Amino acid sequence: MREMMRQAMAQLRSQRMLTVVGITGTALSIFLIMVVVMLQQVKVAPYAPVSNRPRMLYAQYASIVVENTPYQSNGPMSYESAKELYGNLETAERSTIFASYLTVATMTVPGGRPVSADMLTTDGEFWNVYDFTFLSGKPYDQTAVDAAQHVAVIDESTARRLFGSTDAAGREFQLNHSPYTVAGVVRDVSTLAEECFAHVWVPLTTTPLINNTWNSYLMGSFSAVVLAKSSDDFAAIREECDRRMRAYNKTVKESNWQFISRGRPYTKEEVLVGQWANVEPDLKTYRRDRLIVFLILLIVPAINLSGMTESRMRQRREEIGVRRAFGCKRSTLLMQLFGENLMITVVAGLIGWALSVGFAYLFSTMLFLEGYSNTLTMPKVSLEMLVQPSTFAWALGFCFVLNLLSTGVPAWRASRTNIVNAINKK
Amino acid sequence: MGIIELKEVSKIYRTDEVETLALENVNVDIDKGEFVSIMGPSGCGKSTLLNIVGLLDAPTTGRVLIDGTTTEGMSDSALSAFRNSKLGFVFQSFHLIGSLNVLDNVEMPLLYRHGVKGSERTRMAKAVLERVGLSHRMYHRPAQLSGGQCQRVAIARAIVGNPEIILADEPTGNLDSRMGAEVMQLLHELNKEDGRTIVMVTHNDEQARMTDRIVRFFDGRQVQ
Ligand SMILES: Nc1ncnc2c1ncn2[C@@H]1O[C@H](COP(=O)(O)OP(=O)(O)OP(=O)(O)O)[C@@H](O)[C@H]1O
Ligand SMILES: [Mg+2]
Repeated sequence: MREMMRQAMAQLRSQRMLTVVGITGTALSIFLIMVVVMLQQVKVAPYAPVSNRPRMLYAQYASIVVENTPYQSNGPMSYESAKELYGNLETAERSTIFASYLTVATMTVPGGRPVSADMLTTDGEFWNVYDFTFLSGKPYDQTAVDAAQHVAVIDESTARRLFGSTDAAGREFQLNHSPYTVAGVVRDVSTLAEECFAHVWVPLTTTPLINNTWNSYLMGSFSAVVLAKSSDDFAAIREECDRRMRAYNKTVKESNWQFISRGRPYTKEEVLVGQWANVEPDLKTYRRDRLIVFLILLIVPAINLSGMTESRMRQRREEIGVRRAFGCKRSTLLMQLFGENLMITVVAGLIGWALSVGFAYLFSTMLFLEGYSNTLTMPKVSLEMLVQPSTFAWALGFCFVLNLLSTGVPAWRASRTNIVNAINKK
Repeated sequence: MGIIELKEVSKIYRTDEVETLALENVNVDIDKGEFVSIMGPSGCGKSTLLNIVGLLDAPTTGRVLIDGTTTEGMSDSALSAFRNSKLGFVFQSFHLIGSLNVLDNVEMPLLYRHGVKGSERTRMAKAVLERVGLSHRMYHRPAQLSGGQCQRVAIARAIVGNPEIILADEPTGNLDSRMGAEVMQLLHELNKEDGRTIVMVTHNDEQARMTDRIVRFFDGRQVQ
């Protein structure tokens, strides 16, 4: 085995030109496909403050129907409904309820210029589900929320704009003409952590949004996120949510509306796949379509690389024939050829992956800007967001597929050629 | 019973335009330890015969027995193992692997033999290189050697796995007479001292006369 590796290295060195071209081509194709993967992965990847994403279940919206009629309503819930349906679940670690969308708030300090910022209204558990990094002060808790205290958490940039410093805990300001106190200052959040992104967070009891309800107070402006102890508990949590829903449906009977789950709460991936609140996301179809896209993205370079492998093999016909003459089996030869090419693809894959991380980092605004967004803030990415084990695993997986596709036909043909003809380069 | 037996072997090369009858009903029997020369005009089928004996190509009809074993219908894997253990090849134009140094070239057949450890491979390769007088060129590339040295490396490669049979197709064809003589002497040593069976194709009468027996071909037929 070691000997074969060594011989493969010698081989690759002796065909330096083809090796370099092969590595470059492979690296570029891995690079392209990895940019596509990252665009998607970043939306589900765990990083602060969404480190718990793999353990999270989302009830961004709810659906209600009038039974035996076509009437239905799909959208954010009222705080009341969200609490009844998703608050304090026994099977989960905790859950949080917060506004489904950002609102624009105007913030002022005496003598300062007004600062307009994206505001998210939340409960107290929000700060236990999401792991924000506090630079000063601390979050507000559920007691403060229940008491409708006018406290706020603001992000670093907003703190600088308002107070000229991040050390702003305890400072006072006006938010939409009401007095608020800064409870804490957090590090800026990327817009890609879209569900919890904001510049300022306040208790959901302190703004009129909580009174924004319809459909007999059942629907409103809030979403719920459930944090499981482990993703293994998802099924149990969904079951408990269904039980909760049946119980809640009994208490709201006279409204005529009944909640239906549509498989909620969803994983982050399902949330992304689900375009519409009234249709259950179809993860299977989505994943299949995505694999097809990836395959197409791989097949095109694979065909090119296959041509290169073919010419590499042609140059080596004599060698292959001689090895066969001295007892190299067809299967051994195939293994050797795949192994050699795998070395190229893995080296190239690492380069391509590194390129894609660098590219995504440098051109994040252009790459990650969404057509539809809650905010005008430009997306920013950090290396922590981009360098994920999952994307790395994707890259390696692509390398293997690319290797199989580009080496398969040439290697198979090489192993089948007549030994005498190969030795005599006929 | 010979170590090599060809029974009614014919070989027809078919291409789109022509059919070439390269061997026609050939019967050859070679004993263990014999040194046999194969002679005949160009295109008469000498290389074809050697390739069939070497199990590199299959006859169109007829049977090939090596060491009493019928090789007809053997799987690729069995044929490969058989070649690896029983046969060693020496070619007219050496066919060393250019990307590998001399030692690696000689070790190559042992890579395909089950259960030979790396250190053992190196030891065996060094021993045969010593024997062909090239210990001092182990880390050279084939391109840095003379033709005669290349052919000696090729002979070392052919015998490193200790095969009973050596098949040499015009081993001195690309060498000047002095280097050719060195190579011939080496082959005779392998025949006399180790008792290896050698089948050699040659155009050189003098070389052929020094061997135990000459088999002559003309137009695919054995004439003597
Ligand atoms: N792969 C092949 N396809 C078609 N015809 C072939 C092939 N190999 C050999 N032949 C033909 O078979 C005949 C015998 O060829 P072979 O190479 O055995 O001759 P040879 O006796 O070794 O000649 P030389 O002394 O020139 O090496 C020739 O007519 C040759 O053209
Ligand atoms: Mg010939």
